[in-house]
Amino acid sequence: MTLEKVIRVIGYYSDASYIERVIATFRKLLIDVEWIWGRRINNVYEIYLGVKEHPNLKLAILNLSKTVGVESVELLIDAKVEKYIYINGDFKKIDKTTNENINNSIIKYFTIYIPIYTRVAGYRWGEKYGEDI
Amino acid sequence: MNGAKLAAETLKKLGARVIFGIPGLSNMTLYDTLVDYVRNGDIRLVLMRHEQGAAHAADGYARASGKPGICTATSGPGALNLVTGLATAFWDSSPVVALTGQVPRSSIGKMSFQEADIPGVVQNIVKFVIQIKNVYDIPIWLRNAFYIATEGRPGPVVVDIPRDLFNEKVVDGDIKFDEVDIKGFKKFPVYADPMMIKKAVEILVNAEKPLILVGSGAVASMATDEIIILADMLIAPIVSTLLGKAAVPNDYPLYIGMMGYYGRAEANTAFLEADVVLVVGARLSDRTITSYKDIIDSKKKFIIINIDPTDIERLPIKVDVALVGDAKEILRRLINALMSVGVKFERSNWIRRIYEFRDYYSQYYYVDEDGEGLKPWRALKTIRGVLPRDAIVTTGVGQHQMWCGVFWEALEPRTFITSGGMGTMGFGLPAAIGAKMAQPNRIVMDLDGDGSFLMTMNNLSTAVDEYIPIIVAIFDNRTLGLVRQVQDLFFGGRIISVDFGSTIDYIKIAEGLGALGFNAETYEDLVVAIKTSIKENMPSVIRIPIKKDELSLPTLPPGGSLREMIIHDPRKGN
Repeated sequence: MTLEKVIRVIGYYSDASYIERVIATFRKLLIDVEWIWGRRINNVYEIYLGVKEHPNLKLAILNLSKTVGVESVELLIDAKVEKYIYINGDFKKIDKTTNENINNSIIKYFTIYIPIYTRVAGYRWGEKYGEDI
Repeated sequence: MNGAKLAAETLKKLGARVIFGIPGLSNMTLYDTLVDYVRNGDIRLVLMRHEQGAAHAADGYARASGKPGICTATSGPGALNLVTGLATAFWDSSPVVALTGQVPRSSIGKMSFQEADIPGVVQNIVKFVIQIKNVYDIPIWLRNAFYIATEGRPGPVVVDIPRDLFNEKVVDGDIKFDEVDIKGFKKFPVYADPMMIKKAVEILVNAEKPLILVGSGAVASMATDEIIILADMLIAPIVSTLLGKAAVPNDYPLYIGMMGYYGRAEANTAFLEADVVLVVGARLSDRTITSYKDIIDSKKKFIIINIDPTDIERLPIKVDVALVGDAKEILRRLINALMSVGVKFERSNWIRRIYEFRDYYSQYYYVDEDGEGLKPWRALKTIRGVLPRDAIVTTGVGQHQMWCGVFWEALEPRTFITSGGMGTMGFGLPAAIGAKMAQPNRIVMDLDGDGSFLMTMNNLSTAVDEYIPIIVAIFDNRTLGLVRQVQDLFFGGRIISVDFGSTIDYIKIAEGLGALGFNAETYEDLVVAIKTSIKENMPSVIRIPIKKDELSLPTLPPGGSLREMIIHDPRKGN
């Protein structure tokens, strides 16, 4: 079974090439990106990615952590992703039983994915914090 | 003041003295503005014959001086032609700043004339690229480009400027730099506290067969004195990567030679036998350590000094002590700690064994049989004998480069400039132009192959027109020798698509472009040609005939380990 890993990248937005640089770091190391979620708040950009476990994953994290524009890269340990949709003015958590119904009409709803995790293994320009990868 | 003037003033303020490039529609206003700076002697513009040459020249300038080398190109094809040179600089950690003109902002993304998405093209082969959107951002991003290019692990930075910004009027043209604070760019930390230094010293003191491996980081840090002091204290032999050759004088008795794929057999053997390896500024690429199994299977201990901690972290080997910081500074800490320990080492057996390796393998290197052409090792020895110690050599890529790796004696820092990581043919000649511009009082010689020379030889015309007296020595074997060698040895001798015809005349090419041309049929001819070139102080080309099937040895089988070195011509049997 291939386990999914959840990565959080915090950086500074200069233009949309910032997003390309983040994604390309994984592409260059042959790592598939399963999903990506991100947003810009002023000039700070927060990106979450779901990637498959891969022998190059640590190298990708290291490379990304010294990419100009990137503040920090974190592997969220024990991460699972909870899915919420926006219905009737509120976010509602989606469980397994309702998931299929929602998926069938997904375009009607704004969906967000919230990573739930216990610890982090982080890198920031050569500084390591949290756990080892 | 307009944006172009703002850019020119900023470049002057940042210390730019030479810009290699070619003008075109999208950087023309910048060139127009630079006319006054050229007339005042503030900045020199060197007109290259192809933008690839401009990037390599900027790279050669950077590597010879340690300062950023600057190149410029117009939008579209001009900027795209820089790409190979930028990747070359990135792979070898060279601080190049490229200013590319771009179509006006109103035309971007609309398949306009000479438009190319340069940020999109180069962002994965440079350290950083920024497309300027506001004329007032030009000074700060040029300053940031110089800073990012040189800080930490150096590398190329591209600043892409739409040409309407060059023409835009600027109300307040004062160039005021704030303190450098680039969001999302930080200096690497220094990790070398007394406990780590103490642990490293303990390992070195207890080593029976210590070895120092130096790479390009040792050259960039100018750590020659510290490496030699440490080697003397430890009585430890030194080996280098290809790019690290000039980190220590190659005639220093404890320097054994370049190790790796085409490295000296005694250097590879020393590496395999060493029980402790102190790595100074080398990333241990697949050209240096061809198979990590060689390490993993051994009980070798590693102390690694690198300015980039992630370069240590990524290694698939056990690192006993990781010391993060500038090589020169970390080595000084190690030396001070060793001095306080005060141990006298007795390692005569280890050194004797190293010298025995060297003597043994010499029989395979210095063969001088009669026959067609000159022998590469002897030609290089002859050239070394004529050039002063501080002469700078550049190389192309191929067999001649590997012969230089094995046989050339680099005697001072920043005097051996070659494309290591990217292996870019055609690097040598334009890099020599850049190196000569950086060090005009030194002799600069491009030790080139015929295949490499043919790729960028148009830039010889630049050297002539701009009075940049470089010497080009062409090791002419009428073939793409390194590829031919692999076909010959490992593809069953099925030689295909590598041999050149016999008609090309390099002397006439040189003369046709206005340079001097010499044909060195003998070693004596070679000496005369070099001395004449130096005396005439003109760009010169010296052809050195080499036998077509001459091999570059030692080598390894493709994908092989250092234990599988081929040290003599297998076509001749045992």
